[in-house]
Amino acid sequence: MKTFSKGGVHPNDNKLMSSECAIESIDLPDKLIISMSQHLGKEAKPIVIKGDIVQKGQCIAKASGFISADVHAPTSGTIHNIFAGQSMQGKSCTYIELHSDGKDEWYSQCNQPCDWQIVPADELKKIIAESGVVGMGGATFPTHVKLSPMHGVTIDTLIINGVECEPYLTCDHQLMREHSAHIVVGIQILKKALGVDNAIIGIEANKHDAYDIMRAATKDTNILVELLNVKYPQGAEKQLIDALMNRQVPSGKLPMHVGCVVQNIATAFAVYEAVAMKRPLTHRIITISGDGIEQPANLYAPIGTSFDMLLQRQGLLSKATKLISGGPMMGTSISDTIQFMTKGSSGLLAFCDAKSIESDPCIRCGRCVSVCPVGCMPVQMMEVIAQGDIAQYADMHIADCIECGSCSYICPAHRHLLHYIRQAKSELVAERIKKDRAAKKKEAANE
Amino acid sequence: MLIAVLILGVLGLVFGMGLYIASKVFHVPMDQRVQQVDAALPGSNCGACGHAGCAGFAKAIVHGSADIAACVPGGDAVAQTLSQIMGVATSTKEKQVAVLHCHGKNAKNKYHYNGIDTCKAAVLINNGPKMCAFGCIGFGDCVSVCPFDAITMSDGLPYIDEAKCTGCRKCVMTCPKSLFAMHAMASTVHVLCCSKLSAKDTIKACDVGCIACQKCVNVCKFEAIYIEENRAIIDYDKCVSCGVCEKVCPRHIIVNVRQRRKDIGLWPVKKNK
Repeated sequence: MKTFSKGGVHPNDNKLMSSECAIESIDLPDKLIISMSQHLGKEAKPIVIKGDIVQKGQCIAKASGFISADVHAPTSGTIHNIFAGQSMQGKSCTYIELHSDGKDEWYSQCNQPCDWQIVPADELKKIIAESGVVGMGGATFPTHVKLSPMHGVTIDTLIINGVECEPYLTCDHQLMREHSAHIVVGIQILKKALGVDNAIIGIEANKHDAYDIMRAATKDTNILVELLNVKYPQGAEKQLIDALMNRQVPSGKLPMHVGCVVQNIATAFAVYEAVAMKRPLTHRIITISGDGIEQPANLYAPIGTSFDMLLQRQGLLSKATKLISGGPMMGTSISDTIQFMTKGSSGLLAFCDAKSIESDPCIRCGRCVSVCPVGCMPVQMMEVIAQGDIAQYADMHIADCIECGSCSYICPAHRHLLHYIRQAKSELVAERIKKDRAAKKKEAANE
Repeated sequence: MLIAVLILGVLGLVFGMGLYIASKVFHVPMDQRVQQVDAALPGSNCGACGHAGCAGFAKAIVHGSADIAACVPGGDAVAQTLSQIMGVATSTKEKQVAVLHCHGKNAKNKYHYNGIDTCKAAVLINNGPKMCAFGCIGFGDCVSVCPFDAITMSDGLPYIDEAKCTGCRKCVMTCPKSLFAMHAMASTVHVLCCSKLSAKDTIKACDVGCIACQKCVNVCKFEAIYIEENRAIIDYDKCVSCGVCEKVCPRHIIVNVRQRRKDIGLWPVKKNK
């Protein structure tokens, strides 16, 4: 079996808690709070005002830049409020509060089967963009941007990411089990939009049943299904390309520069829904798991559902002390349950005995260097960052870090390696903004 | 023995000549004033003048591209010395000190933070562990950055020793919550809260903290205080530091530091002529 060449760790995957739970739909919430920055890039701009009546699938916010995505109403109802708040990461963002009317009526142009085979490729991309489809693996990069490669690069392979390497998460696994035929249609739409012939689905060996199901579903197509050795972070784009194609994406370059486009399995499903069924991205599957949950589950829920409601439904134990949105390796730790589902919410985990870990001095064992999948030296980075020597950040290739957290996971001294790197990245961003501002000022002065 | 002495002596002479010639041929003319100016500067390399340390500033002064009064920590004394060296007139500047606009010693935490113990690292995780997203995190990045040891931590908040503060603005630039501001020594009344939270949320998060009750606005005869984004802001151009607002503030976040400055001999401010 194949896997990526450099580094990687083997955390206990704990997927059994929810891997046998079929996807359940939740009761329609009365109130949905929909974030306008559910995707990477610029915030979407609301096109509705307070008091508007909207229907399921109707666009309520438009993309406001090249890297941005539309947002649609997950159910029919009234726009109760539009307000500024904070995202899970603590950044300011706009929210739309939608009060459901309980009818769940589709917008007139939505929910109609469409023969995608007669639609030209450019039109397919447009439909995908207008349906607000983003990368569903967690990075939430707008899909239509990935499908429009830069001028001068040729794409030869579409890679479908069914790896789901994050521990605990089983939403993609369930999706492959229950919707394999739809996923295959989604992949074919993606292939047509990209204009490529080859497509490979990568699935880790801990999901053997999903592998068999996908093999059966792709029997009459030229889509390959490949079983991969279990190793974290195999679901990262560059690592998956390495594992499946044996191609290395150079530093500072994108997967398209080695002729690949990687899309998540759930994105393929969202593309099927958007194109073949004319249903914009308004719902997703979220795994509720962890030892702080009474009944782990994979739930099909509308975007904007409050975490509080999901946790109550599955039973949050009173002794649970830690909540994570996303997977345990790359997810965001959240401090209260007043948060709302976004397009990227792949999991919601609750844990009971979250220990306060004290970090000890570095013993220079070099394990962080040996597990780093991109070949960085986290220990050296940490030293440079602790000194605040911004001039050296570029030499340390801090921008190449994919923030998988393998270094922090493996460190026997529990150093906060990834935290240092994230800090450095934020410093680099601040530095760039400062420089841009100074350059603009200079320009203005010259004029 | 004699031969050895001779050989070494001759070698020494030859190399000495070589060095002498090189020093004449590759001579770099140095402006004596650069060294004089550099010697007159405080040498803390704080960068408040906008140049790369004191040496960079000295070069810029001699080159004529920097204002000789731009050395903030040096103040008027250094400006006077520099004006003598450079033979140009200088203007005097009023001394400024840093003020921390947060008074939340007992601000509540929203989660248990377990990461790197610096403010700039903590602020990355959901805006820091404090329930008030605008208040001091309290890891003391300002303490470690202050080149004059003017800031110390007391009760979880940085305390500024105004006798030591030179107004170099390093803390202003470092604080991830932008809680420091520079104010003239003569201004003694300050609002020590930056929270833009609503009154309800402020009360939940902090036992002090501005609730935008308008009492200070109503009592001010000079219209020097106003409410913006749920917090009181002083217009220092209008404020005469009378301290009336301090007495009416129900949350005790408007403070008058005049007495404290008197005690350490910084008040009244000496006027330069």
